[in-house]
Amino acid sequence: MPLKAIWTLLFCLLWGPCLAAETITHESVAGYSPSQAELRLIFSRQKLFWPNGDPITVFILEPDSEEHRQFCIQQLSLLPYVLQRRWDRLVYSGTGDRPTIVPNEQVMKQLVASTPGAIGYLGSADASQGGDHEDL
Amino acid sequence: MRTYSFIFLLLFSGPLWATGQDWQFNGYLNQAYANVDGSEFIVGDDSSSFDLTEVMATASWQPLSAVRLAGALTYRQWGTLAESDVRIDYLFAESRWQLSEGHLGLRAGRMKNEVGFYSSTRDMSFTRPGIMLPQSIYSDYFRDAQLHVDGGDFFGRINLSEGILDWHVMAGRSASSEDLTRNIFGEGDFGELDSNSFFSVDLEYQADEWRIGTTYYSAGVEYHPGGVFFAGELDLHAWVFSAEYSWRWFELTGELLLGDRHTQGVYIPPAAGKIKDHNRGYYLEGRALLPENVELFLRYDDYVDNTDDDAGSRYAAQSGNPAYFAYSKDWTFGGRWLLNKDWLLAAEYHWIEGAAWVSPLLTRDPNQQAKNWSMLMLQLSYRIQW
Repeated sequence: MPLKAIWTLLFCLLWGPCLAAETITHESVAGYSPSQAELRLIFSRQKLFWPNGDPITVFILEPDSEEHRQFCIQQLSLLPYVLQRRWDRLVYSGTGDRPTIVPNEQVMKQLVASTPGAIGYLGSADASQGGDHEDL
Repeated sequence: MRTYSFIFLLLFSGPLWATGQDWQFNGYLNQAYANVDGSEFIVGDDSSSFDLTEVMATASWQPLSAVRLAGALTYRQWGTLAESDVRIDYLFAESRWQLSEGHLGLRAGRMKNEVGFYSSTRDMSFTRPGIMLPQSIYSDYFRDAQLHVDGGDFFGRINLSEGILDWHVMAGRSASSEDLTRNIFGEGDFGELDSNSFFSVDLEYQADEWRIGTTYYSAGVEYHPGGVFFAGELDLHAWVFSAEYSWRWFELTGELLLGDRHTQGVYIPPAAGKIKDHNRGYYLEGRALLPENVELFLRYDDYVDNTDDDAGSRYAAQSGNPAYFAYSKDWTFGGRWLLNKDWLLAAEYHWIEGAAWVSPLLTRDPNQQAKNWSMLMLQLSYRIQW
């Protein structure tokens, strides 16, 4: 078994049941698939523009929610507080902003669908259902 | 100051007129406790202190995609090292231009310097590695002479295939307070230190597993004498090299400082002219990121005040003080527990030999400072993200 798979399995065993977390984007950037390394930079607010020049707007669920944790571990291979440490460095030195925190998946869907250049995620089976979003 | 106050008012009144995602507010509160055995570092005459409080409120407003205003107000007291005070931590206007792979930008106002990995966020418990930063690189006694810079920052970012390269060129004047004078000379009428110029160049590369940085800075301090000392100035030039390697649940971090200090007057008779000496500091830290949001770390921090006099024998012969005032070796074991997204509990224990960074630097008292000493620190932090 490859090392990465073993770690992923260990993550899942230690951090509860694995739900399918998936990124969603506004239709203006739907054709672009960032690598995992790029996703980490995007969700830590270190990469601020899409290749087409549009500014990136990042939405996340509450940082201590199960959905956020699953997303960080599955899609970014980072622990949530390690991700937050990256944007905290920008926020508290004044040099950048954190992602916008939204209260639930319904609001997440609405905001991602209505904000050009937006990216977010859905943490449950909702991600695979249709609507105003594109899976990456 | 009046201009700063006006911009602040404008920034923090954001909720009244701003909408959507163009403004953000953040804040935190840290309360720490220190118990020190064998030294008066931080705690003064008492063996322990609760006078370790840090409060910060920040606001950021982005009216246009290329323009941003950011400001922060802090209240801070840090035992004997910083008296209780409210200050503008930073307040600047920023303009960015997007490039095909990255951006360029300009900031003007008061900014935090970017020396090493932690300087710009050194007061924020969630971002710094422990309660007290490794003093070899981030000495608390000298914090004031370099942390806040009134001036300009020309900065940029280049997106590379698997990482980013950030750089800053910062120039201006550092905004120091009376804490600096007291930390160098001690209590009493010893005149005043005034920060002069500050200049720095900072480069940092961050990829998945590596974070590597280099900073050069120079800080000038002018001395208006009092007591037994002489009028003069201090010029400090330093290189800081930083590296961090992360592999899943483990992080290894090291930073090295190589400094030149040019001293004219102050404690050197004017006839002796300008004296140049070199100082050196480094630390190595291993950190484990454990389940349930717990981190444990072990750090070794080493500082030598004059690299031509590692063991302090020359210092001892010249000053009559024990040689252990010329160096510091600090072993720290600590941990943090993120109770939930807003609360952080931290604890650390220091075993220290030597007292090179124990203030006051120029009026040492061997009766109050042992060669081997220790420190226990605890801290509870809360943050707010509007």
